[in-house]
Amino acid sequence: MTMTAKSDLITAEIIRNYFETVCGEISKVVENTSISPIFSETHDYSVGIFFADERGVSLLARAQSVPVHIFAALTSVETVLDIYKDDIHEGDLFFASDPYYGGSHIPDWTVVNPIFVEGKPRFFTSVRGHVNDVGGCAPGGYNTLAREIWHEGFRVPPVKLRDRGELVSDVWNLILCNTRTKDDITGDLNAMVGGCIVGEQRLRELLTKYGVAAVVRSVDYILDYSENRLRSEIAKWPDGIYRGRSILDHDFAGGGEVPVEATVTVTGSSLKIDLTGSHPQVAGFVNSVATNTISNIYSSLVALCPDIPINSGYFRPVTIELPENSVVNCRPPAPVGHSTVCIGSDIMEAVMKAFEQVVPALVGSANIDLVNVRVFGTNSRTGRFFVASDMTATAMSAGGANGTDGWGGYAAPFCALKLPSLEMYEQQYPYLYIQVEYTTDTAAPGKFRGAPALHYRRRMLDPVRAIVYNQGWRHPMQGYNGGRAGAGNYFILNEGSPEQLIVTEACYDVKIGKGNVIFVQSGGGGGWGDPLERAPALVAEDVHNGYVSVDGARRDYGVALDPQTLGVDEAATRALRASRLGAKPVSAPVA
Amino acid sequence: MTEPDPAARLVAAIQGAVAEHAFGTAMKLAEPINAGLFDAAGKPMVMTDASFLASSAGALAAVRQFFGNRWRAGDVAITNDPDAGAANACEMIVVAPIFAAGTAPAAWALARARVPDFGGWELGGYSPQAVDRWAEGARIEPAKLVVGGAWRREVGDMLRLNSRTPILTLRIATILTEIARSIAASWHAAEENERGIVAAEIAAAVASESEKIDRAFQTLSRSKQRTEQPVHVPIPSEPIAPITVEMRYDGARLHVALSGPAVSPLPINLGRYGAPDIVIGAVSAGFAPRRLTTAAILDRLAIEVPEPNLLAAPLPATVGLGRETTGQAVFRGVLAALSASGLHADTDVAWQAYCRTALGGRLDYSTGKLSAEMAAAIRISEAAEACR
Repeated sequence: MTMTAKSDLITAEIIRNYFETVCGEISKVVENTSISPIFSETHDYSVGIFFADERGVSLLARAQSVPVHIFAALTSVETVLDIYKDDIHEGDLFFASDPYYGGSHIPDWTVVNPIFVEGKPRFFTSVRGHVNDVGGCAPGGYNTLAREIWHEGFRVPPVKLRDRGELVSDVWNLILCNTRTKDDITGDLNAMVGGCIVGEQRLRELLTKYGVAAVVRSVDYILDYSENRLRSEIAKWPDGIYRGRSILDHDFAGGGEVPVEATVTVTGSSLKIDLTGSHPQVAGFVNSVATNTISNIYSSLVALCPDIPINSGYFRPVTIELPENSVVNCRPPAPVGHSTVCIGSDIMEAVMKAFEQVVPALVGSANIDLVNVRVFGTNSRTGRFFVASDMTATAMSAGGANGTDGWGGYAAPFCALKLPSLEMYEQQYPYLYIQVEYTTDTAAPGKFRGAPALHYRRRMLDPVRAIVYNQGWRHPMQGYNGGRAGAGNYFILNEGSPEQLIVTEACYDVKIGKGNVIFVQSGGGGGWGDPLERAPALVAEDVHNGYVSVDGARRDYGVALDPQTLGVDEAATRALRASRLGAKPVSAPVA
Repeated sequence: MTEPDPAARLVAAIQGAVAEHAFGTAMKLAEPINAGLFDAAGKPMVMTDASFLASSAGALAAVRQFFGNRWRAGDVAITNDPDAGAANACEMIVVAPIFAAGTAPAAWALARARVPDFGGWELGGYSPQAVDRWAEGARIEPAKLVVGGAWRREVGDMLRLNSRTPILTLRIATILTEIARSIAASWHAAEENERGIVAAEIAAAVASESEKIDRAFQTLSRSKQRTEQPVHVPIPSEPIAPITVEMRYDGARLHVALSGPAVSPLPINLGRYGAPDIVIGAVSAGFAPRRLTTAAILDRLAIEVPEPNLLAAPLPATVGLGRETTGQAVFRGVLAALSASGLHADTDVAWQAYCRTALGGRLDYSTGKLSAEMAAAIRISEAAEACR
């Protein structure tokens, strides 16, 4: 029976949802079967289904995961196809991690599972996940002293983990013996492989149910639909050239500030995004390969139109230009270890700042914050070596957006990343949490304020060594449309002890004594809109909740409160705001 | 007419295999290059330098254990694992099975050399700042570089990507592979006309060398000797406790018991087979007019090395400078004990000779890093190879 056009569309929409559901199932398999908290608790992995035909490789669907992973995973699939060409067989399973072979940074491992249809690899299930250690000079994979890629970990080009169904045991072992926590990461890699295999089973069921022809037709529809939806949105945007800028505090190598420049050109229903003018390649580990840069640009874009299905069709209206030998398009052997977040977030922010002038109602902090610490040592409870991050420190990146305040977690494109359970961390590592809470007068003021800064104190129950990498002290996350910037980030190691060390940039291999405390301020995303336009009742509520002080309400929002009742003094507030508005300089017109 | 030394033909064949391939800049940088032949069970038969026998046997055992019976003609496996016999990350060991009529290998060929770089903090494998083994370079646990005679792109790519000198590294890997193949060819040539000739020649060679060793050992006193040696460290650190060498000859075997401080956080530990290798090297230097080349010495030595400690430090301990620092202390301690036993040797001369033949003399003791001259030579050679 021939399907009508209408029923084809319905089938295609069912299949599109099926793809996304399969991605969700793969993601759940990884979550439920992995070992390391960075997978099982934080969800620092992503899932995608890809399709290859004579036009190239397309992302069809993704789980609600870390976008910088899965957009980059597309290039991993492309690289596998490019390298292996006709040497891809049923039962093969591929692995890649090298940044200069379609990866982003070495800890992001990608498993690619080809699914053969009519004798050709047409569909691919893929999981890209950030493993906790990849060997190299610095436990945990973030080497603040890295000056070349060999300082960052074991590099793996596309290789076969499974060849015609048979495990390639020595390659498998080579990859894993270059991690410091082989047992745990073996479980994580198995989880990635298991997820891909479950996804393959589901896709085969789909192909059996609907037939190859209908599924392939649906692929065309799915990609075209997203393209058309985005084009129709872009067509509403004013043609023009818009510029945005973001600045990284430093390059971790004494190189000073590192600006990223973005120029967005809107022409009809197309976009061009050009990062020309961005800083040349630097010595420290914030350089980004093109794949990672493009992923971060895409991540900004998807935040603008969140109701459009995300797949390769979404990106057809977009052309990207990246300057050669720059911090956004580096050449080997430049170190790239921190690039996924740190130049990555600046790329997203620069692009978002350009779009602030195009679609001000749609922008906000889409990037994540730039603060983290890795500790390593021996856990006296288990006798085992451990290396651990703490994603709680990174999370407070949500800024205000049109209609909502920043929330206490990751910014929207990263919302699949979860705040980890502190109790689980305490079970697995020699940690004792003392404080994890919002702090007064640190939320970026705005009509819709950013999330307050998080203050976080953790006592180490065993002596450990720490690697700290911090940005956003001098250039915290920016606000939009008159909203102010976040509070900025910093660390105090061995707080209150004679060895106390305040870190606003980075430190490497610092000893943390048993019982000593690590303090972090994670500064929060920027505000959205003029703080003087924030509803006084909302300011009063913030004061009541301890996010804003009475003085802060007056200073930052022009809201006068009775210090006893915390009620809004309407008249005083009107007067205060009127005086502020009168005193405000006139903003320069947007270019 | 005097019968030729029965060791000569086999060792000459292996040395010939080395000499045939080990020329040119890449192999000059790869020195010392050693190769050997092992029996079907993995027991050493001959080697170009017996002071690599213990670690080479360990490497072969690790490789065989990993792959079990998954071997076929034309396979070549590789490792740089200090727990399996390599001195540090920059020593590459290749192993190839030699097949005769049966389905199991009849013998094994092994070749080893330095590679200029395998990642880590510094060019050349000496990383004084390394916090653990992974920080010293890529870890190559056994993997097959060649399967059935076909080069494996995946493994070759991993070697290439994880080296600052990808061209030299792959060239050395290729040449070691060729040396192993040549040894296999020599074995086949010897076995072609007369089955068992290799084993017979080896037995004769071992007997000959055993006789020489016994003659030398007979001059040793039977009393127990004990010496202490400091470990000189080219890195600012707390003082390192000395290592101790206890030696006693019982008329049949020379007993050498080593002891030392705990595993060091500095990269001065020895890998699992480092100490036995150095003891063999020192004993050989003490009396042998030329390098020993058979496994005879293994039967005449009883070496005790407690583990784990500075002298035998398993993963994750750092070992990058181990042979040049703690190894030197072992070497000097053994020679001092031999001297106390009545066998005098110039320790400094012997150590310098050992450095040249067994270590390559690359470490700059003032920095704990590769010497500037060697670093420059490596960079120039890599660039020159890239231009070819």
